[in-house]
Amino acid sequence: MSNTVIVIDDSIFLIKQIVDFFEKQLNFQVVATGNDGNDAVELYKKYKPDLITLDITMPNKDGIEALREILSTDPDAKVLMISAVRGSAMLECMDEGAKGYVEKPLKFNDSEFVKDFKESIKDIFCN
Amino acid sequence: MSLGKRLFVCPDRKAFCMSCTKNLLLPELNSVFSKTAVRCVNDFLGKPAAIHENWCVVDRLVTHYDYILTMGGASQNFQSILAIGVSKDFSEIFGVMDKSEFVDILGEFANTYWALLMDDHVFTKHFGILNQSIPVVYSNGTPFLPFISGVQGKVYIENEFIFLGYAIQKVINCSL
Repeated sequence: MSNTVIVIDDSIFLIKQIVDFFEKQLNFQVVATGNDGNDAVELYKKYKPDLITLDITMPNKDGIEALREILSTDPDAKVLMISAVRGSAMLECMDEGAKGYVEKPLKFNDSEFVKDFKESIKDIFCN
Repeated sequence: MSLGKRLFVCPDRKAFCMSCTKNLLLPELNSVFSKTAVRCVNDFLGKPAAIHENWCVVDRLVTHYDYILTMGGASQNFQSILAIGVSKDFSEIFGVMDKSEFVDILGEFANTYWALLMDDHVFTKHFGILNQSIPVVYSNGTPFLPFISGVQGKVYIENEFIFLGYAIQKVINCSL
């Protein structure tokens, strides 16, 4: 049975790309998608996926806040941050309990990027 | 008479002038902004891009295009604004016809430009990392952009171009 994932990003354009990647390259089942932190928390509680990806800069509720809420309800949640934010945000997310961090831009045409992305997912499920 | 709240004008107006980055850094960093724009088009759109005219340092970003996007950003030391302008015809470059999808992609383009700028060691050596906000898109309007020195120019893709401008200044601390 394939792993399940929820994809959260405020860009529909990027959601399509990420969903495509998880379904075609990783054989994951995308059970839901959402556009802000509120969606993330609600959808996580509803579907309890094997993995949830979170953008950071989103309207209504940002990704770091959503990360905290998800982990408060399920400390074992596997959360992968996918963001263009640089600097201390990455460390902050990892300190909060995120299992991985992928920096945008998402260069799905770049084999090195795809390899690194897949390695990140593998690490999350192996550790 | 007590007004309850009192507004203070920043007592040290010189701070604004001293915070101006125009004469100090922006001419030196001009190429950082234009090269990042070319790289952004390459990475985000997967298309070749070119700079035909030199980018210039301005006292205030000037934009007047069919679609204008602004994205603010700040750190403890600096505050900045990114402005992007395109014509309606640019949707063909993005390969979309729907307006909401066009705006969505334009926002992600801005996000990518910002991220690549923060990856540039020359930029961060001077300014550090600034965190971006959520982009705002104006249609057929001219947003009032602050009087902050910036660098602006165009990057060409096929027969169209994207206007980009990035203005930055030191944070001005005024006690209220």
